[in-house]
Amino acid sequence: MDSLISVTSVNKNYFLAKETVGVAGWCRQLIKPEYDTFQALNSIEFTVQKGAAVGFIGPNGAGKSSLIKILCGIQKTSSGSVRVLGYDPSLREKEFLNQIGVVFGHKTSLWWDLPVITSFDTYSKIYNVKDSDYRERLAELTDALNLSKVLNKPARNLSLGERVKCELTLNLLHSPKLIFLDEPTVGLDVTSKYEIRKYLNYKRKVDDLSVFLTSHDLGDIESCCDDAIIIDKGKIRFDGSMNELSVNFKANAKLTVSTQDATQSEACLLVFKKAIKKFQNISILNDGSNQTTYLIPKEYLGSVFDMFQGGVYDLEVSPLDFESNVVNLFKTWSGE
Amino acid sequence: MNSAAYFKLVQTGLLSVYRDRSMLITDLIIATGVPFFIQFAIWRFVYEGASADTLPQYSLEETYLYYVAVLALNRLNNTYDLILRVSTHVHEGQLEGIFIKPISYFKYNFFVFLGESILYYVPILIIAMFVIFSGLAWSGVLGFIILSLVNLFFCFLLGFLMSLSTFWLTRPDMTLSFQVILASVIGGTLLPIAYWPAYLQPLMQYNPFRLIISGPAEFLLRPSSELLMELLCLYVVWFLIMLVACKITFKFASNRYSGAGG
Repeated sequence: MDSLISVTSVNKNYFLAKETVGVAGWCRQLIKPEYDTFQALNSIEFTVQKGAAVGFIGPNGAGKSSLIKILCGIQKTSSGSVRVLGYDPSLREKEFLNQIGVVFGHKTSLWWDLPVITSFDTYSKIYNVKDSDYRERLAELTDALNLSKVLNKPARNLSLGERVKCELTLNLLHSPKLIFLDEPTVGLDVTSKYEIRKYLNYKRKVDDLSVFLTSHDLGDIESCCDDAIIIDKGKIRFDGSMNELSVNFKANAKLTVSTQDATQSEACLLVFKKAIKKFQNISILNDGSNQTTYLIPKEYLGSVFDMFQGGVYDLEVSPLDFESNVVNLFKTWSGE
Repeated sequence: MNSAAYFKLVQTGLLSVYRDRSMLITDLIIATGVPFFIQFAIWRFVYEGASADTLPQYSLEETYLYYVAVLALNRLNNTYDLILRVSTHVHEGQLEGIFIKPISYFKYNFFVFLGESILYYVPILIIAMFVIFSGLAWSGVLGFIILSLVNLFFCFLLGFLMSLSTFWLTRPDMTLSFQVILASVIGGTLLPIAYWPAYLQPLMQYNPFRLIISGPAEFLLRPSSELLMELLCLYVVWFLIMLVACKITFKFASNRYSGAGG
């Protein structure tokens, strides 16, 4: 299979001016500035195959956006090699840029005071899209993303969801081979999220569009991606298929402990909490006065059930959802 | 990229100025009209006090024409919007949205700037028509029209170079003020070069702002092959300096750019 993205030993350092204290420090910094180094990416390696949809997961500040910016040529690496569609993205060759689309969920490429259609028209010329193709794709996108009523509105008058959908349209009009989506559904309602996910899946199926998606809404990743890369503090912690990730996650379950009697609720729950502390690797997902939710390795379930006092509280075991599993992973790593 | 894309960017620039009609009216009527009436009053007073109705260089009518021309040129060659746009792109991370498009940032801004300037070129044409009907030398009018047009590219280079400072600055205010003051003072909008003290004459004569503001106005009043040659030589030298400076500074700036957050 063809490799679409190939990243080898990539490091990215940022240099931040040192904070100064007092007038003397300020003057010193002005004459001879000193910088602190912050390593955003540390020995990143992965490959993405043609037609794949990869979800890029990580907490805030993990290095997701830095990596996306490197992959689409906005930033350069401090060291290491990157090839995307066979090109070095940092050179920003037109042939390369013509084949990618990039949507930043919280930034816009649309002209703020002009009707959205003006931005579409202009960028279609910049991408040298044939008029007939442009009309066809625009009709398809406006229909799929429900945008027909906003085309003549200035970008500043659009809702967040409409604006992001317009950004997506703008970046798909030239029919790219690969689209980068950096938190495309941030702040969007469920309908807009659904429309975006549905259309991305449709384009993957019909046009073999490759997708590289970062999102804090793990529903996006679950809905659109076959593979996942998890990054934390600039390091890759997982690189594999969503199925492999799910297998890892199956080792744990969610245990919900609810009190039956509200009058003695807290006291009962406290007894349970104390008792469960003797088990290692059990973490609290949610802690309320009448209900506490734990993430618990399945192997401990029998022992925990032995502590169960009938008639005082209820125990409910359920599979752990994807989001809670990822939260747990990040919690574990942050403790390392 | 094709010429249709450039044309579309020009059209977009024009449309964005047209959409902001209040600013257009402010620029064309208040920002140009009010300074002219102030100059009109000052110079009328000065010439009334002068013994022979003329100061060393220009007659009162010529002084009026000079101010009409430089005020129109000052507004035409105003890179305020360009500097503000680049600053917004840098500080709000919008630069990233343009960097990933198959067009250079330089060309993108240049064609939008051209589009934004079209409406401000109309007063230049009106002045040219007025001068032709007044019976002044047609060569001066032709030179004025062509120099004003060609200077747009040079003006863009100057403004783009200044705008790149926003990669290093937190806010664009200093650059904007600098641009306005330089265009007004050493560009010759406030006072014709001839009226500056002798020791300041070289600075006034050979600075790049003269090229875009007082240069074409001087040619309109007193067209001569010597002045044309002087302006063209100045144009070539400054054009090359600005072009190289823009390329080098942009390379440094874009390497330094690390985006506006995630």
